[in-house]
Amino acid sequence: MPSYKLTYFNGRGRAEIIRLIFAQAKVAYEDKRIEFAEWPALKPSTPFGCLPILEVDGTVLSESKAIASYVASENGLQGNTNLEKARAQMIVGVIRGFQDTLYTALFEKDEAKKATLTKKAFEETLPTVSGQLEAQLKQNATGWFVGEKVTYADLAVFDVFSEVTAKNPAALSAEKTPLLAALVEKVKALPNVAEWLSKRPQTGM
Amino acid sequence: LARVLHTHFYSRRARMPSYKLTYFDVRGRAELARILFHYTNTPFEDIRLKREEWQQLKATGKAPFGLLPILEVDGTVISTSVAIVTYIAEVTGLTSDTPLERARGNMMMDGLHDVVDAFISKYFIEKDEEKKAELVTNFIDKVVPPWVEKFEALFKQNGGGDGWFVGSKVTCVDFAIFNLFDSLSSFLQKDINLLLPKDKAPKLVALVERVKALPTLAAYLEKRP
Repeated sequence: MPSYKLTYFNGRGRAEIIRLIFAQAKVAYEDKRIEFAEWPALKPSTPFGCLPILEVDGTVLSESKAIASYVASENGLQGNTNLEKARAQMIVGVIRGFQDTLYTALFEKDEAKKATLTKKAFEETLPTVSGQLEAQLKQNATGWFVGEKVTYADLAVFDVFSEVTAKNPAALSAEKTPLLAALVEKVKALPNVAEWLSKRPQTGM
Repeated sequence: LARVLHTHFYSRRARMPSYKLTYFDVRGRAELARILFHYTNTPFEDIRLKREEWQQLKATGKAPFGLLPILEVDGTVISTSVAIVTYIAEVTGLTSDTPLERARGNMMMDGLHDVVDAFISKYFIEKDEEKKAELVTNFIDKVVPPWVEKFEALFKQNGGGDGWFVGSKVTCVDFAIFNLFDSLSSFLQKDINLLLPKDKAPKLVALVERVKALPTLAAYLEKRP
């Protein structure tokens, strides 16, 4: 087993999908959380000047989706066939794209622009993406997004929707998207995930 | 015996899936997929839609997330250019041999996306010609150079940057690097040296030349729309 060291800020943000994969796989890793003040000194040594990074026996990986895909593939959480892996990657890409939309709105400094972006994200983008994800679940017909068991696609969708519904419970409707609502509950109830959720640091983001 | 062997060989011959790539009639987000198919001489349907045809297709809900490109593999539809390219790389042997190398390759693919994503979205939204020109100047002068520096440094980590980007054989990452700078140069109507200067990124410049010289790719580049 290689030694894994995940470095990020003290929050869920773009690293939480990786932590969820490690948790579900029950794989040990160093969960390093740095203060913002430490970041400028660390930044030049990272591949793309961003976090999270994952150090694997000395190799440094950047880009949270690439890291997530790697950890998932090493632990049977990527899908079994090339097509399944492609579908999983597609779903992770889409939900992370939505998360980026939310972050863009969240970090917008201009108050008027922020209001417009937030409104668009919740009133247009969210319902559209939810409907599309619901259709994917319906198509796969197993309760999971890909194949017959949990993959990192399910974990990624759970990650973003649990974040969104924590502040806006109405954002996920069991009437409008029953399969999606059920999926979020299913992931929450996975024993290894439930354990992580109960002991992970409680942070604002 | 001959009959048994005949049946054995015909049933064992791997049937290649049918690949159908659908996009607009431009390079854009589908060109890398086309390049990978052409380089490996993998037959595929290269569907190029006009705007009205896309509106019709979009209405059918066939594109899972309402966007192009999509790749149909024996009926299963894959969307998002990253997933499409990763899949094609897997089935055509253009991925690295080890999981860590693959991860480094994927990291690079994501990084290449990050270079352009913000710029492209802003570019197409901006209607004011002057502001648009400013966006382009800012992109070329401020956004691209730091990325090029990081890519060059990453490349040099692999045997000094004198071979392929990851590992010791050509992979989709090499084509992705070529495609990014080639497409940008074409789209912005600027010399590729402006985006990828030889004095700042000699190894990457040499890599792009190495990719362009690959026989089956060179043939495609010569005749592509």
